[in-house]
Amino acid sequence: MQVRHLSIEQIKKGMYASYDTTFGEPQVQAFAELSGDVSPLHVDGDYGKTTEYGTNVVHGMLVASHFSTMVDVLLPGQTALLSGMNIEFVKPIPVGSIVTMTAKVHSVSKMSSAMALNFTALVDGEIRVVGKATVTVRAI
Amino acid sequence: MKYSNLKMGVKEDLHVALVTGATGLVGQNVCLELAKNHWKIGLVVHDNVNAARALLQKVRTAGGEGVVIQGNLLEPAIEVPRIVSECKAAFGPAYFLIHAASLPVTTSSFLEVPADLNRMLTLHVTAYLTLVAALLPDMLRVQSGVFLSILSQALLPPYIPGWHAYSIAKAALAQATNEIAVRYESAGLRSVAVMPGALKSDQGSPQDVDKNILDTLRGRWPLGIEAHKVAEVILDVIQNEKIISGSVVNFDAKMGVQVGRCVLWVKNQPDGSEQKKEKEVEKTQTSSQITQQHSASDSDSVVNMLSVIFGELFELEDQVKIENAEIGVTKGWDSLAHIRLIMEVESALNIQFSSDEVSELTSFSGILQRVRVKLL
Repeated sequence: MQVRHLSIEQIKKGMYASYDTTFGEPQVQAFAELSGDVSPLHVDGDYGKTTEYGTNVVHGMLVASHFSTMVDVLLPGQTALLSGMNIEFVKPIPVGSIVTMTAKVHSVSKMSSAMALNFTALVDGEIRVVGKATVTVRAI
Repeated sequence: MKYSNLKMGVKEDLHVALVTGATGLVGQNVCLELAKNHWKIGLVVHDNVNAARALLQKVRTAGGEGVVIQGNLLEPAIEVPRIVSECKAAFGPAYFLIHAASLPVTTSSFLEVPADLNRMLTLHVTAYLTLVAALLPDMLRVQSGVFLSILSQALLPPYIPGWHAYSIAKAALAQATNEIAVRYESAGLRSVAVMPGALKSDQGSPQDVDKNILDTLRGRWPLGIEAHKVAEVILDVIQNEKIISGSVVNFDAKMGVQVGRCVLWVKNQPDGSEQKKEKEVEKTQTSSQITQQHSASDSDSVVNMLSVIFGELFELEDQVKIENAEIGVTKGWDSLAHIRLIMEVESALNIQFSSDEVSELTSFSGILQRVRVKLL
């Protein structure tokens, strides 16, 4: 994806972005190594089978990191400085799932040069993660 | 990391509506209201294709775009995928569904198996839910979409004798409207309904209906609301995000007078709940004007709205503490919270502050004073 660079003047309430991405074993293993979160719930296939989910599940923060991706790459792109984020993990995501990430501009303040966004992560149309963020938009 | 199906846009891209029962009284008026606002419309009709084509011409003349889609919603499993894909082929995904399709109400004895109960449930509920499911994936992707159903006072007691098939179907549709609202509110989708009563038809006023039924309805149902007025309200309801998901817009005329009272549920009330607001629907007044009048120009409403925002942001319950809130003094009112506060106030009241006003926006009283000036 190409990194965008929107100014505060270009950002409008209701602007949206979405893409699909797969959280497979390679992604989960890489995140486990990077973050140190090596819980068998995420990385041990035999253990995953014994859980109530029947399989390993993706790290919540790996999924939520894509909310940051959407801000820093798409809405608004390189002009973004993430100021704060709330995340709710609604339902676990099995490893191997194709996830639709969505973002939408909830409000914009030109005076503050800031915007608020809402996020969702969906699997087969079902909401798995929701988030909200406040973003400062730096001058281009 | 690999990405696919990247999609970006603005909300004006999303003005594509699917209207079932497009040639019916409500449906055709909704299509014309949408057309005046330059929407793209999938006009879904069962067999009245000639009337649909005539309506399409009017839609185009009014400034909209449209496509006639013939489909039998009594066979939803087969027909809905095709209906949705035909609309998508013409204009892209539909992000608004107005389910105005209906069947004539025939009376039957409650002790008989109602011959048309299955048909009523299929058209009003199964077809609606099948359409919702088909439209959801594209709506979820953009966190935007509105589902509008048309309910009836027939689902409320006292029930009209012989109308139970219709009443049961409308009651089920009301439940479906609520469940969709609850399930998809966090994804940014809205599910709303209107309850317009017995409309003034081309054949004359509702006073032409059976006298026994009319006597049952008088004083309880709105009688004779004009379809174009309902269509205006529907357009406001689907566009006005302050009308919260799960709302039912209830026209409640007095004793058959052709002026309705609109009941709307509007966000941001003093105790954090949604408040029922009522207003006479004058001929030239729309529901968006009603919500704006109630929510913006009334001084108490402005104080209430700001109080809710301050209360939620700084976790304050005491009104005195709220009204004395000040940056740097009130706990949690730091620079990040200040940005959030300004955005919430601007969004709630549909205003924009300028950099000249910054120095005044450091306390509840300062913000209130500046807001009042802007709303004059």
